[in-house]
Amino acid sequence: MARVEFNAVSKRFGATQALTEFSLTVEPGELVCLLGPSGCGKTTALRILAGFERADSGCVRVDDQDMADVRVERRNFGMVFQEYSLFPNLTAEQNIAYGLRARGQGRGSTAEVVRRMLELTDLHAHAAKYPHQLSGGQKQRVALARALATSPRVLLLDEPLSALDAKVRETLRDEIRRLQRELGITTVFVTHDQHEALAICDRVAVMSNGGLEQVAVPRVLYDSPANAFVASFIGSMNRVPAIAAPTGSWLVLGTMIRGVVLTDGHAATATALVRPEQLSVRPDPSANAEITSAWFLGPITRLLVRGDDGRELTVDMLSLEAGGLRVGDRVQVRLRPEAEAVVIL
Amino acid sequence: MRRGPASNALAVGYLVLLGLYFLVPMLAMARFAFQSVPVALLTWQNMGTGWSGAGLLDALTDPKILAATRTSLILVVGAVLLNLALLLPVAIAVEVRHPRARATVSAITLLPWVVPPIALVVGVAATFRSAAPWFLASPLSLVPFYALWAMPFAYRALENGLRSINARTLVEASLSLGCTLPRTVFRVLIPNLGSALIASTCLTAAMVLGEFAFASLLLKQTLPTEMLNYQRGDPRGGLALALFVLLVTAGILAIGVRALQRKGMHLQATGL
Repeated sequence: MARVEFNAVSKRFGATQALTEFSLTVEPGELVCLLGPSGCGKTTALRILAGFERADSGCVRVDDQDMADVRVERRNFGMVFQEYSLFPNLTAEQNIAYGLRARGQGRGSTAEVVRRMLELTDLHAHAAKYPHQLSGGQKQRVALARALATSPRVLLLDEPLSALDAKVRETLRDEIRRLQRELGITTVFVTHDQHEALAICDRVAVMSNGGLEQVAVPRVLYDSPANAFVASFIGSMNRVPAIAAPTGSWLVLGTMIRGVVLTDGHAATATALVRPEQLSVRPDPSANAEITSAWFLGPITRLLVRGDDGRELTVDMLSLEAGGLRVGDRVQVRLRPEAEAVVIL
Repeated sequence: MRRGPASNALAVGYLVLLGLYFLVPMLAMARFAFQSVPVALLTWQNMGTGWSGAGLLDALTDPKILAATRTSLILVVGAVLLNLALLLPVAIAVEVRHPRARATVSAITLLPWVVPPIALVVGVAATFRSAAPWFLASPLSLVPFYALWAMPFAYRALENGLRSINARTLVEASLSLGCTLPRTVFRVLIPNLGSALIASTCLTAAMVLGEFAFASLLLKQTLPTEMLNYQRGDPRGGLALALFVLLVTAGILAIGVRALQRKGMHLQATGL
């Protein structure tokens, strides 16, 4: 199990600063996600780690070894790409054996590893098929098996699920996590899908504009975002006024809370970022808000509530609780009393 | 979208006209070449009489034609090999390492078509006549000219082929698995570039077999120049030979295309 460190890595492509002083440590056996919007530098960071790009400044170390002068083929990393990258002229099992053969491993031991990888990824039935005979999910499973076959020090996953449909994506996502845990391999996973990141990673590194915004375990990232960018990027947020109380608490939608305070100074008013599931509605014909839209999403129902002052709030309620609510109902919106993780800006 | 009968009739009429545009001259050529009837007496009534392949047989057994054919085939092989040796590494380097240079390199490969053959031959002849006269004496001196002349087509076939297999990702995948770049080229890229290599070869061969200006200017006896010479002595036999070469070339291209289609390769991605 290897330890990966990015130390103040910067990279520029022409006029675009792709990475700025990017620093991150991935502990041995950990699965860390680089999460951020398109163009935030996450793929550049991964490609520098893989050796496909050189950093302009800073360094990448693996187990304290500076990787700057280590050629790609000598790094012993496994990589799964966003595009299907199987070699079209080779069958699934030949693809899996490719890395082992390139390293001069004997036929016997190669066959044994290939058999184990096919078993791990449940691909036995497809071993003799060529890539064009496989579905998208099967192709990515072969790519994963191929990357793992060489027992890499680090596994790099560059948006490996983005080309797959929702159901297959979910299954393969869980499979990646299972294999990563079973093999205890240090893994860096690049994605722009926050659900993917929150679901399978030990820690998530949120990036924007070539820099790191916050690194934390998913729960902390969700409940205690370090800044407004992370708060608004992870999940969805309502912006509502917050009024400071002398006790150090804040009055938000009629409820006193302590909140996660990011504002500095001692402002009397601020903006609270409230997640849709932290709100609830109660029918009240004399209330000053009305349900304008409702979407049944299975276990939850999403409501769009417009106040008489024109402000709109999104509210997520358990469908069991929202059964009697209809579009056009007058409702009172409240902050749930248990909602402590409200960000005050 | 459904088309009306008038639109369908227009489309069919257009296709018939297009077919006639190609077929009528070919038929006229065939009648002149293979029918032993004086040209002034050729009518629709005697369409089926007097056909003979003797002229073609004479042309095909003519020692000068045979020698010129051999020379042209050697030139095809030379031009194809030189083009692949020069263009494949460049196309791979551009696609895999320097994709931003695509437009520049693509423009450079068009340059041979900007310079007229006469200027190219005069310039090269002036340079080599004093420095390396043996070069211009050999028929193989045409190989670099032909390779250069076929370059725009050959390069595009390779470039499209590399792009269609997503060469960059395949190379990166191979490198990450511990394979070196040269081994990656031979184990991954070339085996997957079959259609592009065949397309590049066919296009180069077609260019070389039909090229006249360079050979004539450098006084070399290739199939096109010798066909012209032969036609001066035997117009019917010469034309029969021209028609035969045309059909053989078309047949080879058709067989190549069929073979590629059977393998499920994308012809539009290779320029064929």
